[in-house]
Amino acid sequence: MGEKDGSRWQILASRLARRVNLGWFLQMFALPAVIAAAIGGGGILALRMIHQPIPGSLWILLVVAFVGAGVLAWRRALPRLIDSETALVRLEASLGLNNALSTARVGRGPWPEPPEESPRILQWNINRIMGPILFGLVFVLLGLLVPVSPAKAPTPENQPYTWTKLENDVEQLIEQGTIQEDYAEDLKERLKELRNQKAEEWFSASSLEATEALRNTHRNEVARLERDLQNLQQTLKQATDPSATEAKRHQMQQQLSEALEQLKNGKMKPDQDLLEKLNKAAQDAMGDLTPEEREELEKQLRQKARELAESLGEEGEPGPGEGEGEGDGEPREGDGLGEGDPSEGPGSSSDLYGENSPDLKLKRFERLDPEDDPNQDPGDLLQLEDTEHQLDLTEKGPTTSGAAQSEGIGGDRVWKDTLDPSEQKSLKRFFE
Amino acid sequence: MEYASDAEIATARSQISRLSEALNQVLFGQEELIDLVITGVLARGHILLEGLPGLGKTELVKGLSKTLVLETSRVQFTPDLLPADITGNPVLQEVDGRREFVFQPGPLFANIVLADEINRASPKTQSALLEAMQEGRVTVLGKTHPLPTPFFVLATQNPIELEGTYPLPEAQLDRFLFKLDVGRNSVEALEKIVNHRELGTAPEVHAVLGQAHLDAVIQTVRRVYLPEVVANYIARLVDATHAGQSESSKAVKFGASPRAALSMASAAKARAVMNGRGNASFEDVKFVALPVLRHRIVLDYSARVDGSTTDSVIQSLLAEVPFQTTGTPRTLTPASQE
Repeated sequence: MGEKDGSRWQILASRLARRVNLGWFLQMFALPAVIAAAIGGGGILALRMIHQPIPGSLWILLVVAFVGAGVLAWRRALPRLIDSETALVRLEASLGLNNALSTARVGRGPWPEPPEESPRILQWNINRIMGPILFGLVFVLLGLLVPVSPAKAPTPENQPYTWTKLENDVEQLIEQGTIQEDYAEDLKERLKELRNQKAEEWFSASSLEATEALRNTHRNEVARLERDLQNLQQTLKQATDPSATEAKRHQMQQQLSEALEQLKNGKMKPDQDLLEKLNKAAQDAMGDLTPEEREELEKQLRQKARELAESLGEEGEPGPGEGEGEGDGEPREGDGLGEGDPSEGPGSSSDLYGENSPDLKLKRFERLDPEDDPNQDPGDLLQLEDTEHQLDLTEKGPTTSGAAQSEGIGGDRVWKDTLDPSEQKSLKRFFE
Repeated sequence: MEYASDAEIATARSQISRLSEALNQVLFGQEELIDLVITGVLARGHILLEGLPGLGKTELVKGLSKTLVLETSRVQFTPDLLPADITGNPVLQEVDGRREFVFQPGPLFANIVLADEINRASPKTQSALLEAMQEGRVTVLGKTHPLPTPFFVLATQNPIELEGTYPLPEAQLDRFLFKLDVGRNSVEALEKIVNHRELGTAPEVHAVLGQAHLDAVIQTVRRVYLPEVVANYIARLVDATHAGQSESSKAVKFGASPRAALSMASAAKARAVMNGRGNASFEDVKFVALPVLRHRIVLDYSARVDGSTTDSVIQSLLAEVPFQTTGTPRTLTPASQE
């Protein structure tokens, strides 16, 4: 019976020791775990902010951090861990057993009768346990769910429109078989250089200027190729005209060779297939080409020229044969200020200078009402008037020298009209 | 050391119960005081009783001496009392035709000495008690005389009318196992006193415990098991009484001595036997801590300003010092708190 009771008490003590030790571990684990979760959450958030995918290794790192925090917590808890003997003392103290368990353990007394159910001496403090877990969870979730502004992210969608437009145009021309890929690669290389700048500098003035220059170069190249192809088509037509004289045809063939050479030397070259056909046509001096083949070649040239024109026309400029013509309305005067590049300021209005300059009211004098400003001080400018100087226009005849001529209208009038009687008396007294 | 058996504990407990019942017939409504006095006697300690006049201090001591069938002497301490008046004097006597000094034992030579109003004697006389209380002997004219065993000093003092008194020095106070405050009686106790007592008539008390039996009980108490954890608790408790060793001891100028720890252990053992146990416990220590420590702790001026007393400091210490050094994690709470 005694041994059985003793075993039962030892089991209860072991349970209590395990509970206390786990409590210490959880207490020590709370802070490192929250810190690990905060760092992990911050890392996830940082990755999301720079628009990088969250790698699987980060999760592994997070798990390793938690395990490390656990090891650290265990090491810190180690000096506080209790064994079953200490738990036995805690048990007897809590149950008011007058140290009967400690006495029985050393064989100095009998084991008291153990309780049927495990005594509830210590219970879990849910707030203390759940608090750090929730905090850690919140940190990780914040890292995952906090909305990150996409405007700052250097995504392809946010790059200058002209870049994508240029790329699309070139790719379209290649797909249509209008130009060769060499030009596209060169263009892409230059676009890549622009993209390699920091995302914050994509829309800087220098970047936009470079973009504009690239765009203009491209447009010029397209326009040049279009023009060359149109010329070729015309030349080809004239060279194969059966009514033309031999000399004329020979001249046309020479022009065809020169145009072809110019076409080959350009940065933007036409499709290789077309180029070979043209080359063949020039070398064979048109003699070997059947009318169908010639017609097919002309058709191709027309089509390519049209495609190039369409490529240019998509940006709003009039294409060949469309959008041109004279307007029938009266020109209207603009009444607003001019608009300029956002990075270079609005500039001056087109009609700021000259005859139609707006009235800026620079010459009008306006009277100010003193009552307008209740806080006026002595000496403040209250009024401006458009007036004339009061000139003494009295005609003066020739006078002899030495004679004093004073009509007393200067100083006399001042002191007689403006000074009050007491001041006049004082002044008289002073000069007497 | 052979520890006390259950049978010895049971015998001792029954005898102590009889003693307690007898004393409760002497003093009504002071059960706890009587328990502590018996505890002090079983722990072989001296007891200082402090209380207002008329509360039964002297009566209790007289009743104890009667129930224990021990030789008792009573000394009324006064300012003109001399050391020789209590230790004894060498008197010139004629022995075998020769005149020589023969030592005449004083009132200290008794098993129970009732030192009434001990703080009225001069420090010189009070100091004469030091050797007797600690070593159980007195030395007169270079000759040492052993005191009878058991030897108990039960002193009383009055906390008021302090003019013309000499407060006991710390060394003297430390010799007392307990300092017991005798409080006033409840209405029920007073009613019982009125109904059962006559003014000027001593209560009738029967002897319940002879010296041999008392010695046996005391020996049983000495062989009570003191668990290590309890000894550790006593040590930490005494250490915590010193300034800077605990939060509660901020206002303490001087803490308790190792003698206090020994006293506490002895008293805890006595308490265990009174409760029929063969081992002392945390609860026993807590019960005896107040009377053991209250006269051994000296508070500084800040305690007076704060209104702290030694009792309040000790209560605070008991609440502060845990039974075990291992604490409880904050992730767990005592189940009783809910």
